[in-house]
Amino acid sequence: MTTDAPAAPYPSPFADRAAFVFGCPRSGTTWLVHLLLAHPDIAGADAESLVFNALEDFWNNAHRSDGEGVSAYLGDGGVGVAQRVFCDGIFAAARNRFFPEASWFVEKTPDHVFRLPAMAMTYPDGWFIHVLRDGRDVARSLAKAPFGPPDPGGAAAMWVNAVQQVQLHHWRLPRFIEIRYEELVADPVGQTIGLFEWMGLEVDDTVRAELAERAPHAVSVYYPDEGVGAGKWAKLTPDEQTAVRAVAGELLAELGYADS
Amino acid sequence: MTDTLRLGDEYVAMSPLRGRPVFLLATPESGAELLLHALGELEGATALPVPTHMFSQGAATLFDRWVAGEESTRPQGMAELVDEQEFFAAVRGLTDTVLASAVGLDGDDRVMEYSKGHIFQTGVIAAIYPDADLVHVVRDGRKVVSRGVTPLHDWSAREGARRWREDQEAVTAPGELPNLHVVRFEDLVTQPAESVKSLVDVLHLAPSPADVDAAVAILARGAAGALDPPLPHPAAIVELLAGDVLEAYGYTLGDRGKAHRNARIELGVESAVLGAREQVNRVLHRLRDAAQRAQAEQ
Repeated sequence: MTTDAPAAPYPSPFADRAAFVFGCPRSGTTWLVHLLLAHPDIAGADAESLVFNALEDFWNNAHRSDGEGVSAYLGDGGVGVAQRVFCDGIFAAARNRFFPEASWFVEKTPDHVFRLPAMAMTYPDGWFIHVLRDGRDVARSLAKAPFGPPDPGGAAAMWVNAVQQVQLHHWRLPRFIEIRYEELVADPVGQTIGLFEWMGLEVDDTVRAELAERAPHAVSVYYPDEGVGAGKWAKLTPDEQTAVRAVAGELLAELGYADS
Repeated sequence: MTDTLRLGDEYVAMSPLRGRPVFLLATPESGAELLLHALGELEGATALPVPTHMFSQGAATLFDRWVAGEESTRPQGMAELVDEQEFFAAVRGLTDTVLASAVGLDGDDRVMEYSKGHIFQTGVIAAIYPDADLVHVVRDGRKVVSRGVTPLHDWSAREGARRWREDQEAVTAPGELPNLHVVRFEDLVTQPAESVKSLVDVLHLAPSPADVDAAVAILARGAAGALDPPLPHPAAIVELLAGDVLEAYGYTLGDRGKAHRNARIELGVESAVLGAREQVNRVLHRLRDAAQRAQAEQ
């Protein structure tokens, strides 16, 4: 797996040092960021910045069909620069405020699965981490969350849409890696160290110890009596499981989840 | 928000374009493009030929999403990461990049920009660019809407009147702005020489006499047909919906006549329809609530 990538589009404070975590909501993205922040050279927050959602209008402006708009002056490469200047400004201010010694920034917004082309243009040198989780577990979790669809079938459709977006666009991201939630749960320390090594970050005993301390910490939990882990989809009713399979069965099989 | 918040001096000082931008703010058909063309003739001024729409389609959404998810159960939005000044500075970086791509960073030309939706974003512009000059071009709303109902814009008279009113109110909403200059289109085209001289002074330009003559000639050409009477129906609608705003900018209201009577009837019908629709929606909501309660109790 190559880690070569184009250079940042301008002298960025986060050249080769910006990482983005995304995936369908309830896939473990918050927990992964919590683990990544074990490294002292990484700054970030478990809050979703929504920065690329916020830039959607600017991106649309840059692709107007009437010839007006910012592209008249920026051109394609310039759009990436302008968006990079904005994002770097946000990330640098956050880094300086919370982690002034860090040189990396990790951002997490699950919904950014729908913004990958814009992110590719803005951070061609970025490190993109997709967290993939069994769609049946995601559907159950989303349906129980206060912000998800109320039915597991609808939640499964969200999962399918999100995963397919990544499948469609990940080729645009030179530095892209996919990590499975189930593997992260089984070995959070080992999996996170693997990510650090992929990103070229040194891992010492201090980082290992911090990871070990963070690993059991549950985050983003909406029903604390259940604990964390894989396979909780088995608690769905038969009808709910049927509804989920109807929507996501094909993709689940493709990804190797159907038989588990 | 923008009544009291603006990009701080320390951040403005870091901008490579500090003190250079000039934003024209105007409802379409108010003469802003004519003025932009004229000002572009002056040495020391660069008029951007293509509207950027970067505030109406770009920065406005950034401000909307700045505090996102107030009703969300998970922490969201850039406000979780940075404070207002840092956010304003990041937006300034985005828009400065656009302007710098248009004119470059060398030199000290005033950079002049007009986009038709920017007048409604006056508060955002004033917050991000406290060092810019804002030129509000106002034209008699009756004439603006008379031109707006043509196929070029295809407004209804009511839509046009409301838009004109909301646009002018958007300029005054942020409160007193020391860098805001108001010019009336009618004065631009009937007194072009005085208008150009006045703008040269407030925008700190130093053009040659030939440049000034060229700018004056452009404004003077704009007078042709521009001061003809407005269409009766749009004029009546504007007077009914925005008469106070017309008078605030020095425009005299006309005599009430048949057009006003018809306009009052039209607005009355619209109001009744909207009122009826609201009533129906309220009943529907009550029925829906009752059904949900009944379901929950089962």
